[in-house]
Amino acid sequence: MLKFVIRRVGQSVLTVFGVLTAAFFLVRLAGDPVVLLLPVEATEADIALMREALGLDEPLIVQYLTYLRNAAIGDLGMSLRQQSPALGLVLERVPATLELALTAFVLGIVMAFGIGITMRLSTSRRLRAAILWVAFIRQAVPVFWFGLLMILLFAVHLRWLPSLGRGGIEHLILPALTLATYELALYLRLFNASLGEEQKQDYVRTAYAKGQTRARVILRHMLPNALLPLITIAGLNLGVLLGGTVVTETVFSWPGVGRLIVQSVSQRDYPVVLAGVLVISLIFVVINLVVDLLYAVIDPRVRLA
Amino acid sequence: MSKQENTQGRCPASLLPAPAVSRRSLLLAAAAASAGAALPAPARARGNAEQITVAQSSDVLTLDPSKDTSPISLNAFKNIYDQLTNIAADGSVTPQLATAWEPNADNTVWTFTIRADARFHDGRPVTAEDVAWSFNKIIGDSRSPVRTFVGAIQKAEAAGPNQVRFTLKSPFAPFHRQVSLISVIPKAAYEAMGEARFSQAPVGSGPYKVVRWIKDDRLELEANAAYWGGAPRIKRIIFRPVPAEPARAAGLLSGELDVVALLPPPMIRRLQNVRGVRVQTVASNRVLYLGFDVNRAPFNNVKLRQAIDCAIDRNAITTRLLQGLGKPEGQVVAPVTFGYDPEIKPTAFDPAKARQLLREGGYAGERVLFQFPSNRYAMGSEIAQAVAGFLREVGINVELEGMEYSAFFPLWTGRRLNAMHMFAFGPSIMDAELAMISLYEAGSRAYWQLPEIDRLVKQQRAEANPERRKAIISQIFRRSQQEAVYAVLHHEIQAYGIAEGLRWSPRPDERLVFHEADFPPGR
Repeated sequence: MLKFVIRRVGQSVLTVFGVLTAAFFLVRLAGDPVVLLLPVEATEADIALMREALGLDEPLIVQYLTYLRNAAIGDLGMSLRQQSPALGLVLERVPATLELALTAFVLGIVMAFGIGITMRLSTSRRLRAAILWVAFIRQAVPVFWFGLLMILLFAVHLRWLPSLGRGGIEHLILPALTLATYELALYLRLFNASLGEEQKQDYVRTAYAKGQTRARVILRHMLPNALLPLITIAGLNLGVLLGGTVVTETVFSWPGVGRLIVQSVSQRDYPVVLAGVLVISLIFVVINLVVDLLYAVIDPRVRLA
Repeated sequence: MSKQENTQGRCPASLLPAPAVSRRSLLLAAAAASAGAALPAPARARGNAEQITVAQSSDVLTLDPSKDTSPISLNAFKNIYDQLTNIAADGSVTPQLATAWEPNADNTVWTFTIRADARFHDGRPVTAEDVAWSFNKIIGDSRSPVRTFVGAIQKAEAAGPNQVRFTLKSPFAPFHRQVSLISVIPKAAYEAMGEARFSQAPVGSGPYKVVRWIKDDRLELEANAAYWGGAPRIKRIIFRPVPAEPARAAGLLSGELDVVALLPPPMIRRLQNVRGVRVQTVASNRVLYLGFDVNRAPFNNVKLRQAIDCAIDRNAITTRLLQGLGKPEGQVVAPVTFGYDPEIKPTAFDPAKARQLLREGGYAGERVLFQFPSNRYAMGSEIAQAVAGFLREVGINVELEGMEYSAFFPLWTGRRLNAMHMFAFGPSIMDAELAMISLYEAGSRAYWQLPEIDRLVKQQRAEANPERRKAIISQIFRRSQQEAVYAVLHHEIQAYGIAEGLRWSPRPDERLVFHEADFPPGR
């Protein structure tokens, strides 16, 4: 187990390093941060002076090595646009993103569980088909559009909830529901499929043969087995949620990490982009590790070697 | 909204893309349309008329005005700080911290008299020392983009208790306009707090004080009751970054936002019918134009450039595509900008002449690349498509290349655009100098650089007499139009969504300044 963790951490360091390298060159090759920073009437001399002051006059590869050397000792540099350390800017926004992503995640999982099990326990095929259809349609609607619909209904027409910003729980409801319903749809379809798969297994027939009730077979025997794929997807999805709520953050003006990164990309503020990428890839890596460990807890057959 | 002129010689309607109503704005438009009847009027707390919420497309980057030149941040600076002078909404220069100013005979030494009753938010008086220090700090800071704004200054010094003297590197006639870009900061407070702290919780001398700034969520300002220009009547202003355009419109409908700038043309008519929301338009200082690489084929051929200039039906673009939110121009500055010559008319639409010019110029159907920023101007992509449509109609083989602005701008700056491009100018000092320094002077972004034009540029910059200066600028614009160095399209007319009852007018330069706003009683 310890060996497994150590090896995984080693792999993760390599992954993060690769991601950072790719991000560095992508951001830097796609536009000049110095020119974007200065007003239109800046002279050649202004541009050259600023380039030198920011250390961007050296060859890109030298800048990259400098960046790595500083990053290795925890210095991710200052934002080119905002007068703050890049990492600080990202970390400041992590609570907002965590709040939204975790709420949506828990909401999605809880609803998927409730509805998924109800669906299985119920004997009505029509109900099951109807639920799956709704899930299918929700999954097909883009988040941006769905978010706007929510705003129009609940903020503009009904005036129940605010449409923008972060504050109390009322600000959280619309963006969290927008994300959670998408998650819910995904989990429901997956959960339903894996429960259906388990139903065909021999042990299920054996359980029924022993005279156990339908509810007991489903909850006691099938559920733990059907959970494995769900945990994998939910784990990966949590990572996606944490790093990829940018569309939801944009629609609902939520002050999260995703929006910061997108804005920084358009300004080519590469220290902030890289700090954001680093934080998100670390979150991803940790979640993946936790998912793998959870596997072993749920299914004793999985060995961590 | 500006009255629309007749479209002379219409182009086939099929050439013009229908106003692009994206699915999402359609959704909102539908909501807004139903809003007139079905919606309650935006639930603005009228009893709480002392507070307004203003949307911007993104958050300010810093509150330290010596460190940022972005328009979004400038809007905050204009409310928190004072500048020596102010550019009024009609484009004229008015006193602010300075009550008077005087250039020497050749415009190289400028002396400003500072008002005695201005105080910083911490109670200390604004001194000539603070003013000089604010400028010198920027001049000496190679990491500050604001440095470009003070590039003309050799040194700034306090020349007495209420006098600041600027010595310039060379004559600069619009210097009294240029200083309106520089916010004065308190030397003592800045040095005591340090750069990092000041940038989050600054001390200014303007009509509003910073209460709190929660990044990417809200910037809260409260009225400075001791402001020398009188306490603002709106007691609290909240700037909110709302990046999605439809979300800004929704916020206006729901009453969460009181001011939304730059509404897209398809939204306007719908919002006009919504109770509780007023749409107000303003002729902006921003002018869109086409530029050419005149040093290389095919655009070293003046006939081809002239053909393009008269192949474009500008009226069709402004009246039909932009639905009135633009007015054709023949020079790169707008009427509100100093140096605008009303005698210079937009190039007339004449496709027959365009075809003839193409024949005379020996154009044989070579491919012409047309690059433009796709995410920058209101309906920018649609305008570029319309232009391409008109050019194809007279037989020019145009190939469109839309680019993200962050990729486009460095190419523009480096004069690395290939053939023909679209760009826009909105000089914040509302003076043609910005066009001169960027589009005509030798060593500028211009592809067209001639010694005689460069001489005129420097001559107007040194000219103290405004009328004579205008005449020189006009000479440059005329020559430019004759040779079709730029095919100027139109100046933008911009629409703002404003809460009903809020007395406030948008400015031509997109600045959001609220010192004089209020909710008049009895409405």
